[in-house]
Amino acid sequence: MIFKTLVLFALLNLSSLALASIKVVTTTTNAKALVEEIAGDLVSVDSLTKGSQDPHFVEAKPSFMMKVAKCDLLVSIGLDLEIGWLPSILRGARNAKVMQGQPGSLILGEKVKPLDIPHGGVSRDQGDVHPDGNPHFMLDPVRAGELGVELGKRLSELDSTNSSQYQKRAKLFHEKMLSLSESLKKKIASSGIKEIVTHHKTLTYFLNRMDIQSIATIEPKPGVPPSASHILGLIKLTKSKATKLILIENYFEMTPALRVQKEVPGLKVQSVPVSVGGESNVNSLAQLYEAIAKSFN
Amino acid sequence: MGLCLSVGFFFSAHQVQAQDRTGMKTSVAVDLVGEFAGNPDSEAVDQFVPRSIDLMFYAPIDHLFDGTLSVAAHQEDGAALVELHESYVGSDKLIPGLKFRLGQFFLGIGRLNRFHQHEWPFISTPIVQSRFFDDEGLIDSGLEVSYLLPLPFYLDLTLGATNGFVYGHAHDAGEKPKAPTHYLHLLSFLEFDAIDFQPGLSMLNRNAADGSKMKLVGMDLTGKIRSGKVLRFLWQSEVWQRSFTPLDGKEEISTGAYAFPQYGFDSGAEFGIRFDYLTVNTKKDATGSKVGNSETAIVPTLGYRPSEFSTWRMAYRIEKIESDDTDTIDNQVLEFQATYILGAHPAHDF
Repeated sequence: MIFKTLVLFALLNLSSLALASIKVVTTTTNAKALVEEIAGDLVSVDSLTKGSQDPHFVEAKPSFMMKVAKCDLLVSIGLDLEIGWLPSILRGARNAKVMQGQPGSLILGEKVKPLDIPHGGVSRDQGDVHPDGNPHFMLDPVRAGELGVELGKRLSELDSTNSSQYQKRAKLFHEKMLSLSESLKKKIASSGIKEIVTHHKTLTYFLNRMDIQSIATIEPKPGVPPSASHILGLIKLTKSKATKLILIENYFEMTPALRVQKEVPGLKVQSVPVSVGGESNVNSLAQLYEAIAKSFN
Repeated sequence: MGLCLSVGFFFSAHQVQAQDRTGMKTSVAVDLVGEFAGNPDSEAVDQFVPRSIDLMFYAPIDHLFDGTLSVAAHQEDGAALVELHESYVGSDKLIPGLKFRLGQFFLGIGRLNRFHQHEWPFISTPIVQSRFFDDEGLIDSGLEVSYLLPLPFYLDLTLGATNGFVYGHAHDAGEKPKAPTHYLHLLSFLEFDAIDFQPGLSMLNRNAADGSKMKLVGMDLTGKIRSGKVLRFLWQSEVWQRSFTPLDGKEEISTGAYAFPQYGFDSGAEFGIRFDYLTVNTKKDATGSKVGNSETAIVPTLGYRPSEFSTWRMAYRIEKIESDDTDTIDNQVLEFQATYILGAHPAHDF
């Protein structure tokens, strides 16, 4: 009887091993959406933050440590986006295989050519400047496509059995993003808008890809709330340039932008999601880019 | 109140990091504090001084171990003192779920004791912390091991043993105790839609060289609601009971607690009120009758935090020491604080 029980227990364990898939944890929902595109149901994936959260400021919850402690691959954005909280999560998780430099750590920011790299000296008097460049590259469909290929390679290393699937899906996603980028560019061009204002430099990569210029930000410096004089300056600037659109990342307050709008005729202020899950109908990267593009019309 | 400077090593980084190519990070944390009399009987020193300046270094030693060193400068009795606060080697890479540190460190028990004083959300030390642990907290040398238990929920067990020659803030070598100071801290985490809580349970035993025995049991609870950059609501509290038995003496039991609810505004301003309480449960008069006694404080605190690198605070401390056998002592103090951090700043723990 005991022998039979042991055999049954062993078989159950073996079957669970056979069903085990790679556990992936991402820091943001955009990175999670990328994993879903490349791996589909071949992996289980969870994001530490929600799409409605500002990923700069996240509480280092012990529940996040639990998730990271049990994962095989941690996909983060890097370029200091998560610097205020991810190191604490990693220390608490005590999972050597996902620490920086290990195969279980994929820092997407190390695989892209960043924009907004500050020139000359950088110090805190410039606000929350990212010394290695703007970390919001996931809002560029083309870079996201390229990162899908990088992710496919890493997943193939960790799970060689499904390597061909990852590579195939990555290639398809890359092509889809190139095509989507072109169609969105045409759609936005038809709006006639060439210059806009944003709250933070979150949309830099998207705007750069779509040939739209960001002429100012509601924040006088990254992470610094606007002063009355800065708002007055924005009113003057948007009036002189006949600016038609201010896009506000939907986790920021609309109030300062609405103050500007009040003084500038024809100026539209639009809240936009900048993360997958940031709005109920935005469930993939493609839907996210389309939602941002839609705000131009 | 002594001047304490605690240096925390921090990495952070949308800011420039004080880091070289070996991964060395350095930071300086300055804690400036002023105390001024609020009533004629006040014990305030009517002075504004740097309470502490902490200089901290942290770096990976090799692929397995990390090293930490912190040196603190204090003012005590008008003289500047520089002393070693923390110096330890540790690792979180050897065994999955386990981390340890070996050397001198702040003991990982309770809530306040795990944070440097400049990171506390209020200016003065709560009465229970001051009486049971000393103003700055417990520092000692030894080994501390923490294990994230493999359970479906968060449960982190910390066990530690330290020399125990001294207890609290000391400038001498102390004496060899009957047994090393040993302690336990169990931390969990409760996550809800609107608010998250971290409850903890601590125990500490010390058998000193003079034969006295001390046991501490405590619970800590921290709750937070964060809205982007703003910590919208903070709840921080600790309850401790201490049993102290001198050699050939009677056991003295004391119970103390503090609670600090705080609300954060969008502008970076924050307002909280701390409630302190301490009583000696076993206090008796010459006839053996119980003597009622308590030390209480209410400390409304207004703060402004323009960034995570500087804090400005103002508070008014209303303290009362009451006992059935003595006159009530009323101590009111107006407090000011400015803290700032130069160099790297660490990621914040919950």
